Amino acid sequence: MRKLLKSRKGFDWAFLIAGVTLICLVFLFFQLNKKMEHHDKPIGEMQMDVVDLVQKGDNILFYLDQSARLSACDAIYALADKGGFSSPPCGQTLPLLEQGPVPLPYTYSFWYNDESKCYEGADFYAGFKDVFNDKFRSRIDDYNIFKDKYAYVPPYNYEFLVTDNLIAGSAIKSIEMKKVSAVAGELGEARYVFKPSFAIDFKTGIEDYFSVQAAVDSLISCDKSMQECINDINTPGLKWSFEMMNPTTYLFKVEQENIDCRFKGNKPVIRFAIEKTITIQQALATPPVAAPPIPVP
Amino acid sequence: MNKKGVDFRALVYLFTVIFCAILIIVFYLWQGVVAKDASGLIDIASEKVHKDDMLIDLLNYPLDSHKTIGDAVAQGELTKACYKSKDFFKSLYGENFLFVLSFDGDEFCETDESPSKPLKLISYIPTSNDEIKEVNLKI
Repeated sequence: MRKLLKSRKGFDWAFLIAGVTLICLVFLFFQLNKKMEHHDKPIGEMQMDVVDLVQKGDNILFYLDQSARLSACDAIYALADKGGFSSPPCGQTLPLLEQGPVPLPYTYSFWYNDESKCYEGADFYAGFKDVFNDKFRSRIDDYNIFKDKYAYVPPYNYEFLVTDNLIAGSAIKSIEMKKVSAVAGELGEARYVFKPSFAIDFKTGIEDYFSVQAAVDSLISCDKSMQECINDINTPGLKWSFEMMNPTTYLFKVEQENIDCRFKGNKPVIRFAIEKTITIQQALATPPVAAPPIPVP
Repeated sequence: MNKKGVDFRALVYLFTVIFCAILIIVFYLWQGVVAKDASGLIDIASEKVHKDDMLIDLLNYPLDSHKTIGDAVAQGELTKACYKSKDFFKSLYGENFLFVLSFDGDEFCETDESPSKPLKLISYIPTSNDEIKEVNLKI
C-alpha cells in the first residue's frame, strides 16, 4: 500500500477532479457572498421602498383629483355670483340683501350698461380658470401645511384646460419623493418622480353663459314688457327670474339646473344686471319692485 | 496488470465523486436558502402592492353616475359609503374579507369580525368645507 501511495498511481485524476471542483465552488461561494454583502438590507427591500413612495404619490394624486372636483364646484358658484366675470368689465351694482333664511348681500355685475354690451368678447373659460385656480391653489396650500403631508406640492404649477365637460391641469414641475433605503453608497436611495397632473370629467356649465349671452341680446332689443321678453326666450336647463332695482335697472337670476354639485345644496345662480331704458307701457306692465341698496361698510 | 493499483484507483475515484457531490449539494442548498429569502420578499412585495392600492381603489369606486365612494365620504354621506364599500369588498374579495373603515378617527364601517394583525392604509381627502380629513382602512 505504502508503495502504491508513493508511486501515486490513481491520485492524479482524482486530485485534479476534486481540486477543480473545490476551486470552482469556493470561487462561486465568494462571488455570491460578495454580492450579498453589497446589500445592507435584504434583497427587494429597496424596491419595497419604491412601492411605498408610489403609494404615497397615488395618495397625493387622489387628493388633487378630489380637490379639483370640489374646486370646480366652488368655481361654478363663485363665477355665477359674479355674473361670469372674474373682474366685471362694466362694474357692479351696490350690494343688495337677498331674501332667505340667512339674508346675504349680493352684487350684480352689469351685462348691459350705457348701451354697451359688456359681455361681448368676454372669455368665460378664462374667467372660470381664474376662479378655479384660486380655489384649487388654496386647497393645495392647505395640504402643504397639513402636518402629515407626504411631499410638498407646488401650488403655482399648472396650466389648465377647461372645456364644457372637462377640467385638466397639466403640471409643469414634477414632484420628487426620496427614501433612504440602505446605508451603503449609491444604492441607498429610492427615488420616485411624477407629474401631479389631473383630468376630471366635470360639467362646468360655461356653455350656459353663451345661452344667456344670446338671450340678453334679444332682451335688450325686445320692445315688450320684460316678463314677456323672457317668456319668448328659449334656454333649456336655465330658469330665469328678474326684479327691477329701479326704473332702468333689471336684476336677473338665472338658475343653472344641469349643474350637479350636491353638497352645495341649491343650484348655482348666474346673477347679472341690465340697465335699459323702458317705455311707459313697459313700466306699467312690470311695476318696479325696488330692492334697497345697503351701504358698503 | 497490477490489480491492486486498479482497485485503489477505483476507490479514490469513488471517494472523489462522493466528495464532489457533497460539495455541490451543500453549495446548492446554500444558494437555495439565499434564493428563498429573495423569493419570499418578492411574494410580499406583490401582496403589498395589491393591498396598498385597495384604499385608493375603494375611494375611486363609483357610488352612482356622478359620485365616487371618496366623494360620499368627503361629503359625510357615510352610510351610503359604507353600504357601497361592503359591496366593493364582497364582489372583489369575497364575503369573508375583514375590514374596518374610519373617517376622521371615527369608525363608520366594519365587518362583524375585525381583522387580526391589520394592515393600516391611510389617505387624505379634502372636504367641501375646506378641511382635510384622514380616511383609514384596516384590512
